[in-house]
Amino acid sequence: MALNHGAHRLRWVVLLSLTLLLPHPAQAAPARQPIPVPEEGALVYDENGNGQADLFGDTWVYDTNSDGRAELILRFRQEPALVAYLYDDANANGQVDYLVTGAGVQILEAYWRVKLTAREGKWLLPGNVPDWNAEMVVDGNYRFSGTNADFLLTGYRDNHQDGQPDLLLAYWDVNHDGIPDYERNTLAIPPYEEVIANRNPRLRPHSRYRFPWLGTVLQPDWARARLALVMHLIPSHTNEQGYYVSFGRPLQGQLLLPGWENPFAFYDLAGDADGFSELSVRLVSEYEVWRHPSLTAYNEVRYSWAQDENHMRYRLYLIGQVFRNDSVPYPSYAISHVPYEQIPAFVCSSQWTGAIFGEYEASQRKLSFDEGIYENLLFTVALRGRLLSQRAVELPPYLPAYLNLREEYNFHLNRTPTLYFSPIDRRLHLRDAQQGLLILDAHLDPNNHNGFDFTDQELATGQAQVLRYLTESDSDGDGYFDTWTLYFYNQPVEKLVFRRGTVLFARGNTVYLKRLPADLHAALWETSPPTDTLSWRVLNERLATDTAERPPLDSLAALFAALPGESTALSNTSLGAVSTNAGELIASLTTAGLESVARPQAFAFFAQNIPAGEYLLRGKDGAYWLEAPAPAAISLSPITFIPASGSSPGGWLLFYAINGGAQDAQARLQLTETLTGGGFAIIHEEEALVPAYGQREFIVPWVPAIGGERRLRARLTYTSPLLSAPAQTEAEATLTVPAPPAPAATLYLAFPDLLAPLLLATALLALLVPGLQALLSEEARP
Amino acid sequence: MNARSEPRAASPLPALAFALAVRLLLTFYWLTRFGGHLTESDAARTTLVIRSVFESGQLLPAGKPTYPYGYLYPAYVSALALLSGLDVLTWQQWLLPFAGLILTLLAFVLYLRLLGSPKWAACAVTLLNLQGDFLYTSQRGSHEKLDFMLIFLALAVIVLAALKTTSLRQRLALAAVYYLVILAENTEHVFFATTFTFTLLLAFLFWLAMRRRQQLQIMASPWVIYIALMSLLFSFLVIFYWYPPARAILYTSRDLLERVRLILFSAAEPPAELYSMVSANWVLPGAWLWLRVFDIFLFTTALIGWWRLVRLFFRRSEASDLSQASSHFWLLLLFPPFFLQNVAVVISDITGSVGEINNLQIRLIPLTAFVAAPLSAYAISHWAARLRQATARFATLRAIVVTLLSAVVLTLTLIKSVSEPLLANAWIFYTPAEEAGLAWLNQNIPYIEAEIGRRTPRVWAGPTFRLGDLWRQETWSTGDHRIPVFDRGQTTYTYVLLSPQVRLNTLRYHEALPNILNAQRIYVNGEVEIYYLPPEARP
Repeated sequence: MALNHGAHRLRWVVLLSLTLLLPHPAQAAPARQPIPVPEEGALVYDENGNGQADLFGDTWVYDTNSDGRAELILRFRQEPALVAYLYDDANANGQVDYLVTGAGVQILEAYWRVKLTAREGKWLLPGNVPDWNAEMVVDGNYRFSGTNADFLLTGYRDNHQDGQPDLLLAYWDVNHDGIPDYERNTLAIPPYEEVIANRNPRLRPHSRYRFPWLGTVLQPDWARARLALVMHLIPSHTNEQGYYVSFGRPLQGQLLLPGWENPFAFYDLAGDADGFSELSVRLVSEYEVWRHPSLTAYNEVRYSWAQDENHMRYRLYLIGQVFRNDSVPYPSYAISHVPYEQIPAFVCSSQWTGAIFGEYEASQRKLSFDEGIYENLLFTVALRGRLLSQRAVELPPYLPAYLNLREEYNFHLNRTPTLYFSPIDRRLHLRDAQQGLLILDAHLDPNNHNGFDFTDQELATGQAQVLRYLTESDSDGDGYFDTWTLYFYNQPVEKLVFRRGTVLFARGNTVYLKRLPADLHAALWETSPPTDTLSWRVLNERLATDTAERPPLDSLAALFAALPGESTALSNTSLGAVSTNAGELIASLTTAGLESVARPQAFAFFAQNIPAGEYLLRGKDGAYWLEAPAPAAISLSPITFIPASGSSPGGWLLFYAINGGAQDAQARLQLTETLTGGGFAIIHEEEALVPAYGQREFIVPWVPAIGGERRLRARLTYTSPLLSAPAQTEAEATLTVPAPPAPAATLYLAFPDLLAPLLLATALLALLVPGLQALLSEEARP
Repeated sequence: MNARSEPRAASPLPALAFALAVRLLLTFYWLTRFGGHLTESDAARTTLVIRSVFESGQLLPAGKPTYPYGYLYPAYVSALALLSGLDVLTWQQWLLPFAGLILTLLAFVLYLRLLGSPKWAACAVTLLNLQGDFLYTSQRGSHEKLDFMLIFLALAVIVLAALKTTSLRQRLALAAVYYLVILAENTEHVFFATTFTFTLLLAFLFWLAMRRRQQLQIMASPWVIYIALMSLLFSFLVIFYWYPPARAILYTSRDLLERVRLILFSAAEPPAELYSMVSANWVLPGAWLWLRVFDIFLFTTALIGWWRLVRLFFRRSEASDLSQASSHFWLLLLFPPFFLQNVAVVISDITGSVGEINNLQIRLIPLTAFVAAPLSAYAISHWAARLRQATARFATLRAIVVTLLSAVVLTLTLIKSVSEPLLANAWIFYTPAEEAGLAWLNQNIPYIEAEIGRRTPRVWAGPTFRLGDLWRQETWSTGDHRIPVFDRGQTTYTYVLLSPQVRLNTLRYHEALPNILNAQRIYVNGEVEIYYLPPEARP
């Protein structure tokens, strides 16, 4: 024990000697006693000598674990602006090196990490509310981290501290209520700038430190004596209400400009202040508008929203070119973008060239859609090329980025986005969609880490190893889906077709028919996507009512069974083509023979024995019967001209192709004008499907150069099952169209000063004639 | 009466004044017919090149348009613009058409030497100036006027060297001038120069043939070979050392035949738009042939005159009068090569034997007319007195016929030289309203700067490139070439510019206007309307 005691004393002596004699870098010769701030683990050197630990003239040395080694130093100065310098362990020796001298604390690290300038000369407002009006400069390597893309500073071997700022950040609390309003981030590498705006009245960043920026924006890694993270004061993505505009480049002193993500906005659509944004809208202005900084061309939108739970379920991707002229003021400049409050209405009331609507159908597997539900980002590259750049880009088949994401699209939409609720599958759909696709099962690449279920290659080409999928289509062209087909290994295994008053379901060698209530339409109701709390709630209530116990889409039999009405089954019968005629059900059937069985009244026709063969099934007004198949037979109606209204030139040519046959016909129309000097000019060419027992309307815009009597000819060439060769029909018309201004006169009206050239021509003649006369008077030459 | 029979005191000045006055009035007509609102593809392109040279101070400015066949004309106009302080377009549109007066002067000097009579020289120059292709190409803002000057100078020097030079000093001086002129022509348009050399060589062969046939003791002609070889040396230097774009043209020719054609007929450039679709470009079918009536007259009378000289040549008693010291000898010598070249390309035109490079008349007819005009004047001079005697009793009728003929010739010339829009469909004018509309378009249409390569807005502005030429001529500059205007060759466009002239032009070509029923009218200035086609309304 004595030995131990002696050793213990000796150790103290040695330690004391070392402490007193050796030039310890941290505490060589303390001039003043620091003021301890134990609740923050800090020693404050009162360098301005006011006897207080303050935030404007002192140096705060943080030693949170009391090991005598500084983990962070904050130095406050009045220069004359009020600034704070943050020093961390730049030389990677595990501590912030400093020396206390008679003049104060001498920091031995080469460069500060952060310099913060209080724009209004104070860190705190009355009542100790933080004053979020400041400029911040950060020196060091960083990378984006987390959902909000905060700036992660640690983890680099080379922390790139060179005294040159790498990050420029600015913050504003315009009304001094302690709630930050704007944040601007300017990055040197990569060249980038963004503005984040807060609209959330509950966003009050709180710090446990007296210096409000520490612990909020500035996140130290105490164990490594380094500043770990510079967080956004205003979260860019997870703030329930707010938005950001990113530019993809520094602004370089411009005062007014549009952004790229312009903006990406988040809304508390439910109005429940639960911290979850029910709506996120990403507006992209990919193309800048030359010389018109206030004019913004909106090109893409991702409009994602949640309805019944805090999880994104629906999404509209919109593409086109919609111009807006806005100027939203910000501190120090203005940005040309749609004001935050108007964005949802702007998106839903604008006409877009193309749209992809999606509903995430998975009930078990919940994905985090922090930026909304992604569209196929590889496909939209080609889509932009085609729709926005007008390039002849061949579009691959569309492939949803995720399993169980039902997506419906139209790349020639050219209207405002409208949704409708189908009573057939009890789901929301995109009005006028060309096609819908839901991938239920597929072979997925386990090494794929792009964040999607499919690889980049699969998404770009639309080719994936799909096991089960469902397609939706609008076969009669009325804007609503009427045909669902379930595929297994690319083979159709189930098909469900809706026509007014009838639904037909085919599986294997049985065809089922159900007579539906006559008032059951393809759409139960239509709506715009929700744009405010009221419309969100209305939609929520409707969906809650109408989607209750809706069948999953992996079985069309369940859909068929859930529909009301009496039904019958035609066994030993397979389904062929179904006509696109919207007015009735016309389908080709092949049966091995139907036996006489009792059937409901509507299906009395099938109660008899029907021999094997090919038939045409027709169903109209609640009655069903079979006919012998017959080929298409098309005639053209007379061509009429509808002049455009007002002073607009030209008009529309209107005529119909009427199919009296029992098969749809694939037709090619060529509309020509016979020219007076011989030959013809092609006005319009079109491929069209003419439904059986129906007609196809043609409305062709026509702007002839001048008016008068014009001779037109429409020629329709068509093919159809049961037709051995293409058939042809024609219609001719002589039309009188209103005449624009008489053109012959325009040649001279354009140059009314004809006197000068006429006089010159006369003078030339007056000069030439006597000249020629004089030559004629010459004698003959030898 | 020829020069020798005229009194020695007769001054050539009145005849020269007459020829200059005709050309001056023709130039004024050219300028006033459309109030100076002229645009045309070659001139627009040349203006573009001159601006590049002028703005960069380099003959081959990197990344800017250049004229691959030579640099002299752009350099020359740039220098004029620099010295005068006037802009390039002013020179091109308003001042350089008067270069036709210099051409007239040079032609008069040459013809006076060839014909020996100021009156008939003036007649020949006037016939030349009334030739539509010559007038058109020497008025518009392209390089041909400079080519013509240099070729006239070269011919004049050759004739002078043969006729007048006795001392070595004179010969050396003329040789120096000749080589300078040929060098200049090589830098102006190297393939024009090779074509001219080819013409001279053909003349030399013709010379040899005549000498062998007649066994005349005319002076040996190897110096023609020397100057031809020297000219080829200059061409070689320009193509392979001085001016890389010319080499590129040669190398990018598809095959040997095309290269030969290029060198012999300077046929590399596509034909001028004005004559590119001969039939479609005139309102009346066959109008182009009627408009060639004067050319047919000119070449027929030239052939007759030439045949008369041939007959004279083969009469031994008169052969001495047609020695190489005789002025007429050169008419006899030079006409066949020019004419044969022209015949070759006319056959080529008719048969389509050179594919897309047809319609070379615009390039070669003026050159042939250089020699055809004095020959025609020579022929007329021999008929004049006989005609006068034969019609002595019908002086009034003769005056009326002469007046009518003059009016017809003049009308044909004026129609052809300005491509008179009453009859022609390929127009070389624009209206002030169209210019204003295009300027507005260029300044105001949203332009997708970040997507310059793949999303440039395009404008449909009629069935021809007329307003495209205007855009190129007027609005293009280093920082302002934004809105390309396209014609019917383009199938995609974002904007449609309509004017009464565009409508009429579309009708003339039997085409329908673009569908603008769903378009948005974004600009109107009274006559011109501009429509924006939203994506769904685009073709």
